[in-house]
Formats: sequence, C-alpha cells, structure tokens
Amino acid sequence: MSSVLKSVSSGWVAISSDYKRIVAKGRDFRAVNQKVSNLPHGSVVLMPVVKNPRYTVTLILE
Amino acid sequence: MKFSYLQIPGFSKRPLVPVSFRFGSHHLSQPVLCLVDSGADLTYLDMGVGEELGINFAKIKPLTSFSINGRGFIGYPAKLVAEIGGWEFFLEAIFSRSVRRTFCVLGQEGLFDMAHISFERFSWEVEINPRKEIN
Repeated sequence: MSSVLKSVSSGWVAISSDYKRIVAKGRDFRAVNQKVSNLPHGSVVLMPVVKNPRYTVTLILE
Repeated sequence: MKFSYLQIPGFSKRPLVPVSFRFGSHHLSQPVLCLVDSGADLTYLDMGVGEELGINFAKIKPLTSFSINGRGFIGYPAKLVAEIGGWEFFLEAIFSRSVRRTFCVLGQEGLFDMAHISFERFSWEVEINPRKEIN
C-alpha cells in the first residue's frame, strides 16, 4: 500500500480492498465517500492521507 | 479475525483495520481504515464520518480531549456500531475536525473492553475477536 499512496498528498482516498490501487480521491471524507457509494460494500476502504509524522499520538480524554 | 499490519508512506507498519460504521439506520457505504490504538482512551473519528452517518452534532455537548503533547481539541461524542471482521461492537466515538490530518483510531474504552485484541508485531498481525464471555 505504501507505493500506492505516494501519488497523493492530502484529503481522503478510497483504496481497493487488496490495497493495490487508488479507486477515488477527494478533498474530504464526504467527497470520496460519495464517489464510491455505488460500489459493492467492502470493495474499497476509505482512509485519510496522512503525511509527515513518522509516529502518531496518543489521545487522552479529559 | 487476524489482520495484517499495513504500511503507508512515511510510517512504519501499523495495525490498520477496515471498520464498517452504523449509526441508527444510517450506515456508510464503505469501511473506513482505522488504527487500533491502545494508547487512545476512546475511539476518534473524522467529523465528516459522523456527518455522513447523519449525526446531528448541534444537539451534542462537546468535550475536550488532549493529545500527548497536552494540546486540547474539541470533539463530539456519539454511540455507534462498528463492525470489524464480521463482529459488531457498540462503541462511543469522539468526532472531531482535529482528526482530519491523522488516522481514525479505535481506542481502549469500548472496543478493548469487548474484544480480545492481540498485537503480534513480530509477525505483523493484529487479532481482534469478541469476548465470548460477554457477547
């Protein structure tokens, strides 16, 4: 999946369920979700394009 | 069910799993790839996910969460169903605009109470199964 995502820098993407190709991309979740809404459920997965930080953060509830 | 760790650009391999979300009668047309995050207290999702699920955030009292650097951010809690590997879990998630530039995360409260979660980083697998004693 790493090589597949190198071509995008921001927003959200829909990736094929085998993680081998980008099926759709959009500025935000709604944009990409609407582009793939007619595809069979599970044929793609949606994820934000995450860049730069090598390590993610822990989140704490107040 | 076992899931393979996934690698995305700039990151080491991560326990990312596809999750199908449902809120009432609304459900997303496709699963969202989420990070199984034992360091997060709760499940945190992009606000856009909640909007597509039809959640009315105007009626929800916001709360503040903090990242590990102490920076606070606002989110809106809502209960929803998360289907992972064919199993359904009833979770509370925090929806926030601040999740936009990072992964959606599945945190401790809720999922880690209801499932056996085994991180097997040495073999690049994470296993998630419901606790039979409570399900």
